[in-house]
Amino acid sequence: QTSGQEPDTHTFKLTTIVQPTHVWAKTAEKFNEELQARSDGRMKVDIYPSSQLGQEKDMIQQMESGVVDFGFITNAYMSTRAPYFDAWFLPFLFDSTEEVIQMRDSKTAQKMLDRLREQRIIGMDYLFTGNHHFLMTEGKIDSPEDLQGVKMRTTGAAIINETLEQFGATATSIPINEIYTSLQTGVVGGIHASVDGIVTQRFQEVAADYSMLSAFAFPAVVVASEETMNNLSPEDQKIVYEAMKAAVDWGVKEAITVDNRDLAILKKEGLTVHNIENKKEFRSAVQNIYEKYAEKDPLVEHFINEVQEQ
Amino acid sequence: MKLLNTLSDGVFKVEKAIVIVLVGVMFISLTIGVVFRYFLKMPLHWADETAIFSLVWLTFVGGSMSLKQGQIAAVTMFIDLLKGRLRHILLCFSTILVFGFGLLLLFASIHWITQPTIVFQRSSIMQIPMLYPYLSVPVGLFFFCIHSLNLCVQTIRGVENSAGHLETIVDTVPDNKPLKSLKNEVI
Amino acid sequence: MAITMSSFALLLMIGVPISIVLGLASVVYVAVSGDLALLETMPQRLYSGIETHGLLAIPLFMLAGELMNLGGITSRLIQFSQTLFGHFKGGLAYVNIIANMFLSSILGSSLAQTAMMSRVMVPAMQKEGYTKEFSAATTAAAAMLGPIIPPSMLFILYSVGAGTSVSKMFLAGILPGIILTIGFSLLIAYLGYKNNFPKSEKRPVKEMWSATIQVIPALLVPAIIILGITLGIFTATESAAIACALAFVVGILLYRELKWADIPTVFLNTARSTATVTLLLAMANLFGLVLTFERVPQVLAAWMGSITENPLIFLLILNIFLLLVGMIMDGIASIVILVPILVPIAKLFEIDLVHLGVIICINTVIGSLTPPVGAGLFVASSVGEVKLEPLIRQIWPFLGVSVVVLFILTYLPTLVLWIPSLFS
Ligand code: NA
Ligand code: NA
Repeated sequence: QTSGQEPDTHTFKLTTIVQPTHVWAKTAEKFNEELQARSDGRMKVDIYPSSQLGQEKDMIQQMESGVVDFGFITNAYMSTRAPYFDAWFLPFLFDSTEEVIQMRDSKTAQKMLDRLREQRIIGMDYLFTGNHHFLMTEGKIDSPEDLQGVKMRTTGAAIINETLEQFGATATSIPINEIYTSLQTGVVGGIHASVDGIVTQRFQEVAADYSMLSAFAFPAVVVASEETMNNLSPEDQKIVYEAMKAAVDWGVKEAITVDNRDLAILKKEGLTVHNIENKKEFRSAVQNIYEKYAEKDPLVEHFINEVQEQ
Repeated sequence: MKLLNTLSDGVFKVEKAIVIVLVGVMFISLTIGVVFRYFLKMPLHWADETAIFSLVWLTFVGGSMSLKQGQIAAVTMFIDLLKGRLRHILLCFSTILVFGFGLLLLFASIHWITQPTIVFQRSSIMQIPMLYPYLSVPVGLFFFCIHSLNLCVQTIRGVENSAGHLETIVDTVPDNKPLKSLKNEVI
Repeated sequence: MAITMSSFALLLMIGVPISIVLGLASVVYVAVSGDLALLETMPQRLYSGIETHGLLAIPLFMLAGELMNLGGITSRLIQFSQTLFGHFKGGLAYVNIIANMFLSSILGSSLAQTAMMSRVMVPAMQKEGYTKEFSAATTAAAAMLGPIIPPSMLFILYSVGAGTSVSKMFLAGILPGIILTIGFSLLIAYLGYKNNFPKSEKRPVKEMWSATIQVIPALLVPAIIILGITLGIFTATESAAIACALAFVVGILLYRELKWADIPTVFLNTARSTATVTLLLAMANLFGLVLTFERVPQVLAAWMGSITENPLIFLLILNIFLLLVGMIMDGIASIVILVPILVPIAKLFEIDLVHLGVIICINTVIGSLTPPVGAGLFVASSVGEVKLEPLIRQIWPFLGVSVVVLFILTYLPTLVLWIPSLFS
């Protein structure tokens, strides 16, 4: 709530779907620290991780009504209500997580955030996790043919399904808490996952090969309630923006650190990690997807161009 | 008052038809989904989402039906200890609360689906406007309000048909067909 | 929060339906906190609590059960159990338990099972000389197996709330179900010896053979569910869809007891029984939002952690608490309300969530048979046409056995987690 006894104290609510141990939740804690430090304790944040306040569509609505003040919302959900965010999901667009992060301050990425105003929310920034690579129960994936006829679990995002089907794989969406058993029993042959996702769910116990392809980037959008921000004094708004920027700067670096550290753990625990250098075949197989999505929104096309210029 | 009762009965018939279709759609889309995925190796992404949206509609339309039928679980042990006037007053009070609650949520849900930002929301797989599944809430609540208003009026006039779930469970065990279907599986 | 909780209790007492109480208490919270914007977010929350893939298994397993009841599967299960166990002392009591065990592998709900089995087993047992009360008590107790042996609606609801795998929960329920069956059988053996229970005549081999042949299609359904899940062919929801299709085929083509004209009624029954559960879940989600806003789970977790650090003591307290709750609260309601609160606490004590789920669900089914509020009791007493008090007196020994089994499972988690671990 944005009110208290003193005229200028604020206790905000921030929510996200990830577990408290996830780097995004840590970033939220960092935001709380920064905010308290910069406001001499006048402003602080209560954090509601693990979807405690509901699904992401609930979170956005809670921000619209000003009940919740901040949210770290996955790009996967954002793209269902603002399709231009699909640009981040374009398959094989990036070579590494670092490359994705470079796009954080790009002109197009900022324009995407600005356009959220039409939905009565404020896009503040982006957070990242490691890119998604292919984790298979067995077998390296180094050409699109390797996915031919394989049943792959996806998050259900249309663009990801289209990509996998382009390679002849069968895309199927299984709820997250069923993935472990599905891999174990062979309901699916593989999934796309970040290093972090594998470690938290212990998928390395039921899968053998991890082909590092940077198939998809997986950012989150840092969103604020317009109502909340409008109720703040200009000075406090400034503090909030600065605190968030400091937290996200930290969180972005931390994501890379965590990614590298966890990859080492996975290797140590016996997961075979394949670094796939040549992604030409994959890229040429998905050109039509680039074209299709570029046609949908000029922002997507600008985004592709900007990535390729870098 | 009689008109209200007729209206409530009519709505109930409509609800019946809706939920029968919904269960059919849910069952068929999921079965076809399995067949296409396992036997024809061709996933139908719409199948799961269709089934989920059917479940949502089923919840709110069927939930309203369960109020109409008094099938909705309640703790009746305290109220059953009471007799006469006090019992009647409390029963009236509780049915009025139920109606008031339904009405409040109905207004809140109309406010919700008429927000301009609702048009930005599309389902993640079929990309249909979320308005269609969302509509289940106000529609279900509208039916709910009709039934609960009817219940209110009847209770105030002294007709008690909201007696919690004991009697309904018994009613739903058919006499002539011993092994046949049961309407109320609660646990 | 105090006002919210007391209005919750008050509304419950004056007979407002539980699901509406949950919603109303949330509205009271909004009114007291003065944060009207929260009211705006309620319809959305109401909606999205239901928009969950895992919940699809509930209507499907209910539909499968309905189709199988009408399709003549239940009667064949009873016949089959009769030929196997009828000729022992206390034969029909065993038949009751075994048939319930088989039926549990098809149905996910104990109340439906109680009602169905009471109709058949109580008159049958009475004819052989058992008292009506004991017959009804045996049936009600044996039907507890329904939500423990997979498939199980309670397990699905728990999994949705706790974020565990439904398949894992199903596997975890198998052994506890069998242990409970053995426990009840031992009790019958003791009571049979003490009270000199009757037995029926041994059936001719030909009859045994035909009963066995006839039961095979009926057992195909649970076989498909269990095999499908363990061998990894289907997820729980998919196996439910397959079970429906199979029940449909068996009922219409094989046993020919299911008629096309029955289908609309079957769908209608499925819809109504599903909606009572999912509506409750939707409303519990509203209330859950209020609790979370007030950080009640966190506060309780911290408080629990300050009382004891020993997981064994925590589990003891948990069981006692749940048994008390079970006395007055509907099972499904307590699961949907308590799971979001208990799971963070259990995590604090590093208790396996699958183990926790089985413990909570067994407590819940026990609760449905404990006075003063026990849906299972009410159904058994009305369908079996016995008075509540003598029924309760006959049920105590069964409840005693269940509580012993509950504590064995609580303190020997291996018994719960062994089968799931075979598949990992
Ligand atoms: Na069962
Ligand atoms: Na009870």
